[in-house]
Amino acid sequence: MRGQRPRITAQEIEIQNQYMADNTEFLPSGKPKISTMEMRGIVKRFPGVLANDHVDFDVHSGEMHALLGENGAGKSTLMRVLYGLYQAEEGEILIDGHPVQIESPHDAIEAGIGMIHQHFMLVPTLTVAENVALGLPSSRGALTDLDRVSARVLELADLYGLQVDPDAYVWQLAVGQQQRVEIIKALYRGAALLILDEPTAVLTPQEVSELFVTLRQMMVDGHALIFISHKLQEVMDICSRVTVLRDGRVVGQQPIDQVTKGALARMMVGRELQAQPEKEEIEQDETRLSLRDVWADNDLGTPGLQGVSLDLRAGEILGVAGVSGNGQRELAQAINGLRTITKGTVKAGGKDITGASPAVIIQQGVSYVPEERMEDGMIKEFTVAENLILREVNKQPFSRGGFLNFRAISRQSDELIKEFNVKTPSKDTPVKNLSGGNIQKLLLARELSRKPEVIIAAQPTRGLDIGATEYVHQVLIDQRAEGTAILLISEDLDEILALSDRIIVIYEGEIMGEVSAEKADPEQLGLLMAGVRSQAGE
Amino acid sequence: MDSSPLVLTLASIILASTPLIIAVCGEILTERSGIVNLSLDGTMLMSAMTGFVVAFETDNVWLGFLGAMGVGAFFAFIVAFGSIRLRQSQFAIGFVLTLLGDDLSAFLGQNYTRIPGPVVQHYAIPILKDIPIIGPIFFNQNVIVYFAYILVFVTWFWLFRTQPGLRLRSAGDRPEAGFARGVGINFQRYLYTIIGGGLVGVAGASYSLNIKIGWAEGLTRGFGWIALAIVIFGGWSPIRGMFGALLFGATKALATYLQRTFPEVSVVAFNAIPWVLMILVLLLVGSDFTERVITVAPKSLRRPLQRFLKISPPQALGSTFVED
Repeated sequence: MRGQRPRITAQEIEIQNQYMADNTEFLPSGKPKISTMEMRGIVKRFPGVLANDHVDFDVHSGEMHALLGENGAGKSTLMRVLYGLYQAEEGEILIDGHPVQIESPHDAIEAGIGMIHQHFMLVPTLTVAENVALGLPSSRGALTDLDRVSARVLELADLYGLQVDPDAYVWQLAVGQQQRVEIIKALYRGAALLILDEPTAVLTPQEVSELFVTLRQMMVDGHALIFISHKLQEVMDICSRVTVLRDGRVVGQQPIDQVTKGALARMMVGRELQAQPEKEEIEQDETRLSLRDVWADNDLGTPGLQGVSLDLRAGEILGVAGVSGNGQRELAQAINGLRTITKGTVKAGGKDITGASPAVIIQQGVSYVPEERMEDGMIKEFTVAENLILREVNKQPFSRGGFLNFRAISRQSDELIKEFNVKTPSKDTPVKNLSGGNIQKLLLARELSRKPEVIIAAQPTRGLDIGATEYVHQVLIDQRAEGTAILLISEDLDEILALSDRIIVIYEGEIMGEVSAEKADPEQLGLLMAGVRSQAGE
Repeated sequence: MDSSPLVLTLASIILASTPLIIAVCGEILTERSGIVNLSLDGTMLMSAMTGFVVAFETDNVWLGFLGAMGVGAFFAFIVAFGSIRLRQSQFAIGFVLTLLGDDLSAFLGQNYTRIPGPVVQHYAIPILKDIPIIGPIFFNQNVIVYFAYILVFVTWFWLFRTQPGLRLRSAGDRPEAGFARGVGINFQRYLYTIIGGGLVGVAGASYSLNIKIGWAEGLTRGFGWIALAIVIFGGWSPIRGMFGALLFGATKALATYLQRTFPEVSVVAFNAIPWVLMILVLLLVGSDFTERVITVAPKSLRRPLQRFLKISPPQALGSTFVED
């Protein structure tokens, strides 16, 4: 322990050690353990990128090994190699000391490896039991044996404390429940080693702690676990070892009690992190955007927004927190005229824009940074320059009498590329060839060049690396300082807490409550995000 | 009673709907795996022609069906290969094949038009045929009709009650999930596109060897498109699809009846009735009219109604899946 504060309680370690000493070769699920898994010298290339450069990685029974790194550092690639989704060009994989060939997910599963994907691999139109049975041999030959599958699912649910209903359709389940189904699926197939790809990204704080209880139990039972994440605190909380990847190489591998969060962050990014930008005090009186009792349907045709009211003032960042799929998309789209408002009013700058077309709403000074930046924010096949003038294409100086003025377009894009520090080979490169961070910069450049009154930023840093995230945060804070009203819709609670002046929580299309940023604590917000109204009342 | 006009009409509706039922089952299998075989109209013409020619030359209807099946499977293979291997648009390939099938069947079959040939023999099922009313309608038919009955059940059972059916549905609904579970998505798609195409071939031949006996240019023209529409109307379920096909058959019979009753109205107008009706039904099913029906219905009926009326296509329908 070297005198440092242990992250896992002494009792837990004791139990763990006891298990390690105990020579049981089987897991509670009745399957054999994997006592060690080693990946040696893994090399994986993609056109133009060395995704994994001689990576060594290993995990033992009874431990949770964190794989930490930024987007594009090669974590997912490495795990996809392990799970047989990619083939490595060099290197070998050893299980319990024996080299194994893993050429497909099927081989991986045979070897006792399971993977919980970040985007769940469930067929929504099938039931839980059917999802578990998918792709497996059945005891009744070609016929499904769902009764037997259900019984086993319930048995596993009981053993690992994962409550699920085998007969429920997956599309009916909440995200947390779907994740349990994923874990059960892996256990059902006898996974002794479990790869968890950013398992907490879509959960509420409470669901995260429930998941951690299960994972700790699995660790104690002798499963080998790999935890992919970029959330440092979680890694510190639950893992026993950590490996940091950067640019496809291992830059550090240590027991968790010998590192600090700061050291990990430095290893990940390769430099010191900037301190969180300071927000200056500014006047926040003029109301720029107000919603009154707004209702809108979601894609399934059921109410996705149920009477949302909010006021957004100049010079403030209003954070909208919530678990994915609780009406955030509908909210952003309803404000921007991309979704029919069935009831209620939206006003921007004093003007009623309920049911107005996006063109009118843009005219009112509302800028939109959409969640699906590639689908809704950009036209992938168009060039950087073309995308930059999309909103103003019908205006002078960019076009005159229906003809484009290429000189003005070119001047504008040169300026914006420089100002927003977009890294692109040229302004004539199709946007689809840029990285996620640069696409987001481009989008911000276009939206902010119009000097908007209101910005609706939906998940503005999702999928971006730390550098790009810092940049986006700085841009939003600068905009706030200039008096722009910003609605920040995000599923990243840390981001909401860091940037917002006020925070509202959305749950099943309703605003559960509002807290000021100084008084907000994650625990309380987590409860609101799970639909539990605070007793304090409003 | 056996030969009352109503019984005869109903029996003829069943007979006339048979090829559609078979084609719909085939296309449902294909679309459930995630591929749209839009070439149905051309495939049916080609297989109707091939079926007749082979049966005529060999004097054996079953060889005719076999040949038709082969042609249907081959056309389907082109769609699958073009979309999976060459990553081209399924819709473009299917459409071009439709046009090709139309003209090619006319060209290759020109020496066989309007000549008599072998036909599927009538076969009443003993015992069952003697059940009053039901017997003469359902069981006083021929083997192809019985095949269609069985096919509807087998398709439904295969899709919803078997392990391979789960794999098939995963390929059409969420291929990534299936693939992560070791399902060969593209294999599934090839397999069910080809099987589906084979069934469409059987459907085509059952026109030229069973219903509109003989071959003539454009013999089955239009039925392929109707089968595609019925797949949607049927919500990708074989049982609903069967009802759709029967509904279409019934309106065709109604049109014939009206034509006889009102000889002064142009034949063309009556011939258009089934198609117009089909469009209306598709519109109704696709609009929120169904939602309203559901909300009006008594509470206990809502759930089953919703399950019956609500349609959602396989979610990955028409999209390509890239296995690494």
